[in-house]
Amino acid sequence: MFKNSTISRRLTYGFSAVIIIMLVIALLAIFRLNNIGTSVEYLTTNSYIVDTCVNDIKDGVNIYARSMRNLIIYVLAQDNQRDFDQIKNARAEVAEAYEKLDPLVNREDKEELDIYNNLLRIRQEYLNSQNTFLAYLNNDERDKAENHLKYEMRDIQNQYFEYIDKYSDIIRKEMARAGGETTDLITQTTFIIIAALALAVILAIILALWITKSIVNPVNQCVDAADKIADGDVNVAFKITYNDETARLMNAMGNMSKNIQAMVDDAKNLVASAKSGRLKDRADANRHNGAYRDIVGGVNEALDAIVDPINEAMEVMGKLANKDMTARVRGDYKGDLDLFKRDINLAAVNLEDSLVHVDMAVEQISSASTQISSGSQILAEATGEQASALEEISSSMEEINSLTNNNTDNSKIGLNLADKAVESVDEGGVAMNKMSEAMSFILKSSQETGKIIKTIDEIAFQTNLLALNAAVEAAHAGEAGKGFAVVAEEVKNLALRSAEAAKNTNDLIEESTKNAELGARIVEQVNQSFTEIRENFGKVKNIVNEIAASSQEQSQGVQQVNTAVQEMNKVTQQNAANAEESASAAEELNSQAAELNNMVAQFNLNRRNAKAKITHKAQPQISDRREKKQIAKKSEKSYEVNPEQLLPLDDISEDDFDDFI
Amino acid sequence: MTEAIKKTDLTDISGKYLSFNLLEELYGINVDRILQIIAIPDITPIPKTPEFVKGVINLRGKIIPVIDLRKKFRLPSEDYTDRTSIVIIKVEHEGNEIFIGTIVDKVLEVMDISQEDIENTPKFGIKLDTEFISGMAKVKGKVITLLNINRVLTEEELTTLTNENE
Repeated sequence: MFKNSTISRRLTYGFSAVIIIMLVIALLAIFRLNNIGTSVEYLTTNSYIVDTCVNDIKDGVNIYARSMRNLIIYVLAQDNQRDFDQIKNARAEVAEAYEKLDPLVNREDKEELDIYNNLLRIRQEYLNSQNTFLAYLNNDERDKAENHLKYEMRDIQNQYFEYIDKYSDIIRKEMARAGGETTDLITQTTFIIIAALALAVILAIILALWITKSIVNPVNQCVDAADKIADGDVNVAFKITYNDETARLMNAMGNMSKNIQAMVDDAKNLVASAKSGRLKDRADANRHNGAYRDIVGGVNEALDAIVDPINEAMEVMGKLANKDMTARVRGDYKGDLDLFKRDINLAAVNLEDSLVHVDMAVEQISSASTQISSGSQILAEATGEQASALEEISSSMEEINSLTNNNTDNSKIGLNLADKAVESVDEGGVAMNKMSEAMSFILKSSQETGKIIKTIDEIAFQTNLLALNAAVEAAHAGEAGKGFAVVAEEVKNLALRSAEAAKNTNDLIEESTKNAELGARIVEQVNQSFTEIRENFGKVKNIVNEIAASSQEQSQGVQQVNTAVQEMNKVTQQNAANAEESASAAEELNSQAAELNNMVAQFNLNRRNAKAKITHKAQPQISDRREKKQIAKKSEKSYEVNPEQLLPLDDISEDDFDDFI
Repeated sequence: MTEAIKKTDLTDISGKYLSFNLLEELYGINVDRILQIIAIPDITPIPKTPEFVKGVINLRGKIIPVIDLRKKFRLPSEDYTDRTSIVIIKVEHEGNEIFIGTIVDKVLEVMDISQEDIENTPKFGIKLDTEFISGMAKVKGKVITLLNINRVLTEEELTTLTNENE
């Protein structure tokens, strides 16, 4: 029944069921509460009032008993009046209680009715007996009244109390019964409500679980399917249990996956075609709807856009393969395809250009190989000359070596001589020192001699004075002293002569002293000169040592040069052999260039165009080369030709090709 | 004065003379006036005496005053050399004969001077005191000033020297 209902309807059913159960529970509760209310009302409006009335009656009887005893005890009329009043009031209250009680008596209950009738009868008896007592009192027959009370009324009163208590017991029992019924009713009701609630909760849970399951299962299926589609797996299947909204959703998703699968199949087919090179295959866009049709149609268009230039490129490549170098891609393409077209054209142009260059290069190679051939012969001759020059160098080096050795020996001899010279200078120094000492001795002797001479001079002076005194004395003696005067004169002359000799000697000594001092100074100067000579000889030794070391190095250098010359000799020999080989290789090159020329001639080149362009660009280079050629012809020895001059490949840069496209 | 010169003119002053040098000039003293010639000894100076008095010497126990002839003649003085000598002369003073040492540069010789060698003292002028020169002689082409030794020192000077000795 529910399989074909929608989710909303199912939800409605579920919630309705729960609401109905709740209504039933509520009605049941109300009904039961009514029963309970009735019981309680019975208790309050019947049993309770009956009980109250019985109690009132009992109170009234008690008041009677007490008042009547008081009437016996108290004898003064004024005291009795109060008890009379009390009895009167009690009668009124008791009568009122009976009036209230009477309609409430359950006359269907035999036991209760019986007790009630006995109660009414004993009441009447009691009232009659009481009236008798009151009459005795009114008649002032107090003894009779007392006896009546003590012996007549006591029995009646006890019976009265007995029936009151009986009735009270019955009423109590009734109340207990009614109260128990009510309690039972409440317990029952509580149980019923709990049971109904439990039923309702269980039912609600079952319904909720079932409805949730019925919604969640299909939705989960849909979510899984959507995840798979999102991950690219469009092969999805659904298990449809209910005919509701989820079923519609699953059907829609199934259709979607089918459409996507169809599109994917088309794409796979196209890819397979492209892989196997069937570039003309296309997908049928009419099998798809809406955006899918747009996609498939777009792919077809994209293929068209890619395949057209490829087809044209294939065509051009075919022509190029057939050695037609003039073929180019002409179509108008955009973006990368334009780049593709430009690259192909550039490749073709480069190829064509390269071939043109090859053609030109072949010509140049053939002329260059001729030149190489002649150059190789010249090289062979030059190598011979070089060899003889190397011989000369070798012998020169031998001479230099022997000279260097001589140099080394001479420098050793020079060193020995310098050492000897230094020794001689040292000896000279010693001799000069001795001479200096001798000079100082001479000086000393001279000074001592001077002193002696001075003494002699003094003696001469004294002698002179003595001679003069003698002369004076002779004069004093007159004629007798004449002979003595002559002697005195002679003595004086001798004294003068000795003084003069002393003076001369002194002069000589002074001169010799001066000479000795001069000698000492000269000795000092000579010593200084010797020291300088020593130093200079030290320098000379250093220089001679350096010369010796330099000669040694020079000798080694000469050795190395010798080795190098030998090496050069070998290389020269090798060069001679190489020149021979070079000549034969040039011959070979020439024949190969001719072969290459034949091969290049097979290509259809847009020759005039390309050549003109290249010739224009390379004009100065070529003219320069021609000049070089002329120079080479004039002078046989200037056979240097650079490869760059022969093959001016660098002259054409990429920029130049932009002009072709 | 003129009388004295005339008197000198009249006197025969020829005889033996001791020649000596004072600053390259030749002087002569008559040997009769000479006691002795000695080399220059230690001279004890005497205070408060004229500048030309050099002091006293001890000659064999006799105290003799010594004068410097250069100073006396106001010639430029020089240090003494090993040729400087003292000529002891005899001078008459107040009837006594006293000895005086005179310092000369160099004693030369004892020579005879005849009358014909001697010329009169040249007249330099009225004011010039030439009393201590007895005459000029030419010997061997050289001019010798002959000293009148008694006039070299004045009377007062001699008194002073005598007093000093005593």
